Amino acid sequence: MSAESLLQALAELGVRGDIEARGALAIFAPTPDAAVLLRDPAIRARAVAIAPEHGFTNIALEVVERSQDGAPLHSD
Amino acid sequence: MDETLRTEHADTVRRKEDSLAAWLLERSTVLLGFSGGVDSAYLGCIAVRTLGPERVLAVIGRSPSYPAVQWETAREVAAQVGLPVLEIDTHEMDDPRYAANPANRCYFCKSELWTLLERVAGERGFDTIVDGTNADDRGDWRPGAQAAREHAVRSPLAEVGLTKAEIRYLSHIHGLPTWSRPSSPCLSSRLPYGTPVTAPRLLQVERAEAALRELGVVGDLRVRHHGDLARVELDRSELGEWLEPARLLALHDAVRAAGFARVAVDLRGFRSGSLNVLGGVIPA
Repeated sequence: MSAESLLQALAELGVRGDIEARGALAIFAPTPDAAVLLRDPAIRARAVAIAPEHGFTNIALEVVERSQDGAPLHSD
Repeated sequence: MDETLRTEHADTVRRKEDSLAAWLLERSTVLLGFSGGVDSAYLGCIAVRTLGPERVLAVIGRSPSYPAVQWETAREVAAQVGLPVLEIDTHEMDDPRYAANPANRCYFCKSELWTLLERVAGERGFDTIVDGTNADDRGDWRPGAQAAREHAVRSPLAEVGLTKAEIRYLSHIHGLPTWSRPSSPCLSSRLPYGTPVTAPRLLQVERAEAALRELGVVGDLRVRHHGDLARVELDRSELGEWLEPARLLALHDAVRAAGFARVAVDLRGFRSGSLNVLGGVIPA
């Protein structure tokens, strides 16, 4: 399982953000640009396809509330 | 509706239904484990049409591991087809082997259910206990099937080779409201193996899924419970639409209101048995 290598592979698709690994689940917190890119089914399919190459069976997009300057807001 | 079933395979499917009726006629009385889902609703419909209501009894096993709305649906479907119903409470949550949520959790749940149904069958003189397992189910990871075998529960839909798609097709023909409903396995299936099954966790999942339905989510839906985080699996045909920012935020707020601190949407979308994959029980 390598969150770093998955992050790098996603970055090659133009999809950037952070990953928290929980076992075989990758929780991906995208940058605002990446969240837009992942609305494209082809990019989404590619992200799903490459996750197992890095040891993850599932990749989930964390919904992060952001302030107007794009910084994540704390939800609690 | 699957167009191929409308045309090429319709005769084959009808013959399977005839086989099902013949199978039922070989039994004098049938006690059905009834959830009101696609499979058991169809089986109940054919059983009552074939044997008559005095020779069939559908038993609903109620527990916190199923959402309350499911029992309302089950009652409605039974009333529509004239199926007699008995409701009993099951207590699998009290069994520590079940509550520990091992990979074979379903075995303990079904053992409890079939033990109770055996008792009912004995008291009321029903000679055959049946369930709604279909031909597709036999390829899945289903430890509950072992409990069924131990209690001599028969699966006539599977035995005559009826698949889920065929059951949906026939349900549509018979005017059953269940024909297009998504499958709805028990709420415990939303908890990763090893995460103890507790009533509050099940309630969180039930509330989150109900809130998402209220919001307009249609098709397959699962809210997987990962502690503080809810991982939402949406129907693949719906996924793109829900990634639109305003809808994503609404989804987030609805799930958080059910008691989750964090919300994530699975990028693959709905996958039956996804926690079996995540838990390494079946291959990815």
